[in-house]
Amino acid sequence: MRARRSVAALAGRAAGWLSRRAGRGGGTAVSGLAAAWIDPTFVQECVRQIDGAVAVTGTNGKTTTTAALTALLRADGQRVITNPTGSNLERGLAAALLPHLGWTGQVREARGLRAVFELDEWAFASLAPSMQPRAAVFLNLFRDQLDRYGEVDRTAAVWAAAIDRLDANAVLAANADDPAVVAVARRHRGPQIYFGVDGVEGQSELDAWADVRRCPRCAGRLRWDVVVYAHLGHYACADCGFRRPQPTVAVDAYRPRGLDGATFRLVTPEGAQEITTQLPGLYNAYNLAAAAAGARAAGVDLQAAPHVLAALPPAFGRAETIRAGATTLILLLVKNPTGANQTLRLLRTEPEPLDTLVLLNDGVADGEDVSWIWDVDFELLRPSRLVVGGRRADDMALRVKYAGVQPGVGGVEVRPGIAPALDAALQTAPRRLVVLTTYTAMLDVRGLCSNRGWVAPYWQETP
Amino acid sequence: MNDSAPVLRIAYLYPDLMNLYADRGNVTCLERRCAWRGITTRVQRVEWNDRLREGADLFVIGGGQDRQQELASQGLTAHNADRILAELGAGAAMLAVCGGYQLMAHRYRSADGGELPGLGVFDAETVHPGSGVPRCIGNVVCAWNGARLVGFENHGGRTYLGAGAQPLAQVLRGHGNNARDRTEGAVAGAAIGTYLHGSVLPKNPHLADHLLALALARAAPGYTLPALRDDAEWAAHRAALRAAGLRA
Repeated sequence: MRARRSVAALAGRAAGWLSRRAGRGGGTAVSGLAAAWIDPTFVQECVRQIDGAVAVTGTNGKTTTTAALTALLRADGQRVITNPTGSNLERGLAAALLPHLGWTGQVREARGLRAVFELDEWAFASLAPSMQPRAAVFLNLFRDQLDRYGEVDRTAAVWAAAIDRLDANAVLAANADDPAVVAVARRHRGPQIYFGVDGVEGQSELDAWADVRRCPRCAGRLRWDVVVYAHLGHYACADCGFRRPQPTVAVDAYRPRGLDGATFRLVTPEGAQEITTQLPGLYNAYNLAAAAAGARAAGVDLQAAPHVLAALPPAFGRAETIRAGATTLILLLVKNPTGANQTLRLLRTEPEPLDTLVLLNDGVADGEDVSWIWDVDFELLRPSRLVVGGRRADDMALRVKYAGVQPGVGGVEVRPGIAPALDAALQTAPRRLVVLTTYTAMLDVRGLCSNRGWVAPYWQETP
Repeated sequence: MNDSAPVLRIAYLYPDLMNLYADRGNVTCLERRCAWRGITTRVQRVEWNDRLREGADLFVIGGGQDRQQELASQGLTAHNADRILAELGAGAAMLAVCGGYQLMAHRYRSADGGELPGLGVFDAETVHPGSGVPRCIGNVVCAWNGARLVGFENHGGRTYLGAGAQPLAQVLRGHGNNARDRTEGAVAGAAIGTYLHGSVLPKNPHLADHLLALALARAAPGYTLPALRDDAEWAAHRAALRAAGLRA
């Protein structure tokens, strides 16, 4: 086994080196793929040698939560391996582990080393039982790329099966406000820590596209006192008594500051802390609460949280800003209705209409089915100028036509492709340009920005 | 000639259960295409446990997950089947997509052998071959009325048409009803069943107007639909053709 892992490590490094030399990105996916292919037990064997892993999974917020949790652990003096580029399948984990292996295939300085891994929902289900993370964070469960995964209920079912096979000492940190998450987390034999959002007025009703409307336990009448967004909120079942657990880690007194971030109180059994964050949107408050709950689950106290979370920059493409000449680009990754609708609501908290670029691609990583844009409330968009681009620019143009979107200046400009769309949007050199973009389109935009000297390639930014 | 502005009554069936692939875009599309022509629409949302509150000229139902589809089937048979069938018998139109299409046929047999009764609007039945058999997923193009329809399909069940059923279209790319006989969807009177998402109506404006014409034949006899400028619609239609590997 050791020989095989050693060969896997070598092959992975060679593949990564070749890929970087060929100029094909950071080479992380290729190197991890090679290692995991040669030794299928590569990830769990490496994790077994170190001081355990924390897994972060859910539909939305994985990358941001993983970054925040990693920062909290590092502030506690721990050495942490993580997969920070959003490469969240087995190959991404293998790639993150590779640099820590010696030539014999053993992890170097394994004692005191921990892993914080973002895991795709289905990758969590297949890897967690063999990896046996010490703690796992469950963020939320929304519809996302149904062409790849089938139905939302099926994701809940594979999570449940994986949780049933977790060690009873593993600690789960789970979103109290998501009934679908709570229903599966409750199956765990071991300890559970819940996080949630308190003290917001919320919405008057569930969103039209909300995925959970009935009790996930008995299919009975689920009632919400507060809907934070989508199906997240304070709920109870009128038929079987299933209800929102009292959160151990709660966000309270949330105050947005538009695209610039927010302030809120983080309430734990030890007291309340004032948090100021650069990360905008209530969804990021959930992510930070999840990271705090995950840190507790990993046995770390939260004394440093205000300082650590204030310093946390937006993750890759998540309200990240790039200087493009006279214009500041604000990249907002959108990949499913829940995230997109939250982002559109966030834009409405800005005092002025913004120049906006919407990029829709239909690659495998975006979801080949672009139907989801019809579940996004583009009716909320109030752009000063609007350009739509990407491989499915025409689909997006049609969506905003039926949403009745009227830019303040001119009509909707349709520019299929990425560079033509970006150039059209930058033509008037706006002070700020909001870019709503699917995943592969965002990689393309970053590539363009990097070619033009506006930003470093992302694989050079991460250690 | 069009004397007075007609009113179209749309019944949107089980939006709380059957909106898995953004099929609500079809309702948005119908409403807007009516509004642009000065046609008033009244949309009644019929949720789980609701009864139809008034008649309808056009029924719309989308797709759902297994559990939700089961609840919708219960709601239909318990409260609304007779009324819907009566309205269809009196000339109302219908668009039933994916799981909704399955519920409007005779029955749906699930992978574990369970059976959901349908309304029998379409002479067809659906069988789920088991979770080991791949779902039918991908871009679809089919031939319809001398033109083409585009969309995206994602279904586990295979639908087989009976002798009394007419297919909606012939598959050119993709799987369609059952991945075997190249048929896609079904037509019965003014009712249309299909597996196409997309949402299907916005980027198939000819199908959207065909459906509106069927519904208006009852709501406003003698009314002729004015043409609309559909440049954006056809551009998206062509983009879907290209995504399916066909020349636009």
